[in-house]
Amino acid sequence: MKILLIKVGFICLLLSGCMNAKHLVYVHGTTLGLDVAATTEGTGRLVFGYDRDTFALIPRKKDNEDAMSLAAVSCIYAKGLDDVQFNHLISTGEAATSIMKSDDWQLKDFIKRVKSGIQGGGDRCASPTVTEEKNAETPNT
Amino acid sequence: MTKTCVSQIKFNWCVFMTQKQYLLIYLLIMLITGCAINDAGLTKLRYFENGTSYMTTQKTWGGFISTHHSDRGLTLGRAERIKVYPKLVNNAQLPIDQFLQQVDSNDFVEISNKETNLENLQPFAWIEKNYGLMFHANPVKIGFSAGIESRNVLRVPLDFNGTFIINRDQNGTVKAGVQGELQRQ
Repeated sequence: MKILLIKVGFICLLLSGCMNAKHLVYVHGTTLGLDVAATTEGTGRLVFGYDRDTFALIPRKKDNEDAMSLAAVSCIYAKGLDDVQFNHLISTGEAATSIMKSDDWQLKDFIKRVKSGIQGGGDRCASPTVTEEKNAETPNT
Repeated sequence: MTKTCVSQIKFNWCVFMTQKQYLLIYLLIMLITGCAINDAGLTKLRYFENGTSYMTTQKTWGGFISTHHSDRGLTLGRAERIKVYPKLVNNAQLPIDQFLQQVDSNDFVEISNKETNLENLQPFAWIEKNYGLMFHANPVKIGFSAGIESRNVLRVPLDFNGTFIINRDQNGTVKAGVQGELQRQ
């Protein structure tokens, strides 16, 4: 009985995330080893070995209301534990509403400009390859 | 203890106990030789700022206790932290290109720790890397880890009204900026 209660308690603890979020959260984490975690913002996990975890949490404005206004462009590039590029642009509130009210072509243009600004215009976040390609192209143009 | 290690079972128990004692002694030595609580103790904490943000970098070895809301917990081993705090929100409207350019050219400059008090500020983003044993009790994680872990977190309050940007490139250089209004031209 005791063991059952402990198991149920542990599962509840792991599932205790995603409740009453008051922050916009974006997490990218990597673990090598043992990891036992619960959280108030995100998801619980039990890991032995290697694991990579990425999640975002967009809170509601108030209980039973819509999610907060948000315009975001993100690029995470990870290779192993050391080479992690973490790039974000987030707009919230009036700034986000203003961006999202743009015409379709304006919005596409906005995203293109931001992507270029935070990622160097490449598929990866300004990786050496992309930078090298850009540098190689410069003399010709 | 050697007198009790006669039979095979007792011998195994003896080896286990000896290993356990070594582990405890190792942890104790680590705690005594290198111990830090927040910014006090054996830790290297540096402060940086640019036009709109503050940044702190911290490295600790040994035992490290953090009571800050963002990374509250205990690390036995090695811990590295980079935290970015918003300094002010510029409400003047800026075209997106200009804002991106401003963030790119506005590098962080090191400042004295006497000039800054970030106790009442919450970081908008932080990057942490831990080696060893970790006990976490912060909003992003409550639990236990052993080994190596790396975490990049963006955590912006619900009432923030504006634009925040953070870029961390492959060399580990961090750039950040905060802006109130953006023009879409």
